[in-house]
Amino acid sequence: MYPYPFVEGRGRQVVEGNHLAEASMSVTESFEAEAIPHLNHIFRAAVRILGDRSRGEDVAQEVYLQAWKSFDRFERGTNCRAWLFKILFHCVNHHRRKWFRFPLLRESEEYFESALTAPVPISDRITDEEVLNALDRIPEKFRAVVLLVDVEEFAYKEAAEILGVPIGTVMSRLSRGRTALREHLAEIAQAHGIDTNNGKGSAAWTRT
Amino acid sequence: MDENVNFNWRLKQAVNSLEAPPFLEPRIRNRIRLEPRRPPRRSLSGVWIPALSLAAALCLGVGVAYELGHLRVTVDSQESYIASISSKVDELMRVGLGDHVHCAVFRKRAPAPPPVEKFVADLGPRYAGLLPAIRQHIPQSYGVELAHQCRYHQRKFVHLSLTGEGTLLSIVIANKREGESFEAGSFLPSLVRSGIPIYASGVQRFGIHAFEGRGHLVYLVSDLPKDENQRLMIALAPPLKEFLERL
Repeated sequence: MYPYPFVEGRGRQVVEGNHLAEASMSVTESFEAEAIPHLNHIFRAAVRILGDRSRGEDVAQEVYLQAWKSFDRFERGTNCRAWLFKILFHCVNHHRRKWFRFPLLRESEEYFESALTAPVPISDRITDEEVLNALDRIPEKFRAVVLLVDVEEFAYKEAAEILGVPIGTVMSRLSRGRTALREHLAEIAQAHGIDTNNGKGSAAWTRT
Repeated sequence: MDENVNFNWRLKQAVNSLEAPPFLEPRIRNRIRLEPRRPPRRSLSGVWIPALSLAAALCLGVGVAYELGHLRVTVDSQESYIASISSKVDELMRVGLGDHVHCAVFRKRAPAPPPVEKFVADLGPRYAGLLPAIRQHIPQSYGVELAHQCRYHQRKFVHLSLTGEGTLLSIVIANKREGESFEAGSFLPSLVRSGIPIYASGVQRFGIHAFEGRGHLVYLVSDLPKDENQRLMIALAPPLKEFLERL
């Protein structure tokens, strides 16, 4: 069961007799018009959260099926993308339990205490793939917040609602996620032989 | 540019470099066309609150009905009910109340009242005259449902029961036992009419008015309002007393 009462009380259609197919089609089209444009966002987030492209495809499809089944509970005019992300994280949690050995990274406080260092400049020679690798290495709960806030540009409040956590938790996880991501990027930069102890970060991020 | 802005820009660019595979969108469109939509659900409050309210009201109704003596189908539960309400009235009032509830309230009624001849036969020649004696003092809308001599808790009664206007009433006559007297007890009459002291009591929906003759205790027990029951007793007491005095 996936109750997604993002906003309760969407108008309920009474469908009778010969109007069934016509009315049903209009609901399908309405759903597709609302939800399909966000498919890339959902797919990317699913892959990044799960760390696996094929699982990302499965979960993205699952998100849309669940959204379709619950579409009567979605209120038109509200944020469909946020609603889909909420379903996404519900599905991810569901699948994580099912898959059992979800590749979670260490999330202990000690891990962060040891990883916390000052921000380092990152070379523009670092590729997108390496950035994604660095992103995939940070713990899932921090990665989720970084994806929602920094990539999908959800407000803290929206991210909190999607994840079902307090807004303070979102802010805290975001800070830790960003710090961890910078740390991993710094390691990659060092592997390229770039001296991360010199220069300013802003210059290093710019790709011209 | 601020470092955070550049950081986000690089991050977004990297994440957005991944596109959903071309087959995914048509696959999803196909699946949702095959997948039936869940029928719109009524909200939790729309389903459970009315259902629970109904169940609670039903339980309450059944409980109250049981407390008031309804739904008592077994002899034991009926006796238990009679005992519980009897304990709330004076001992002398219990005599008429118990027979009324036992005989008239819990009695299985026939679909149609029996003919007068049966009442006459059941009352016997000694008390058959009661029927015409009371008839003119009882509203015409009331019909006799039961008229007989009966026994309850080792005591003999003459019992007439009438129904009308949604009301059940009984005239219960018992022979006095030694020492039984309203006047001798601490009971004070609620009023005296035609020289007859009338005593009043009541429990739950039952109003009880009583008087005593030389050898009888006479009760009028009904679910009429107390003042109506009293008015009826005022009307019935003289002819009843006269009838019993003549025996």
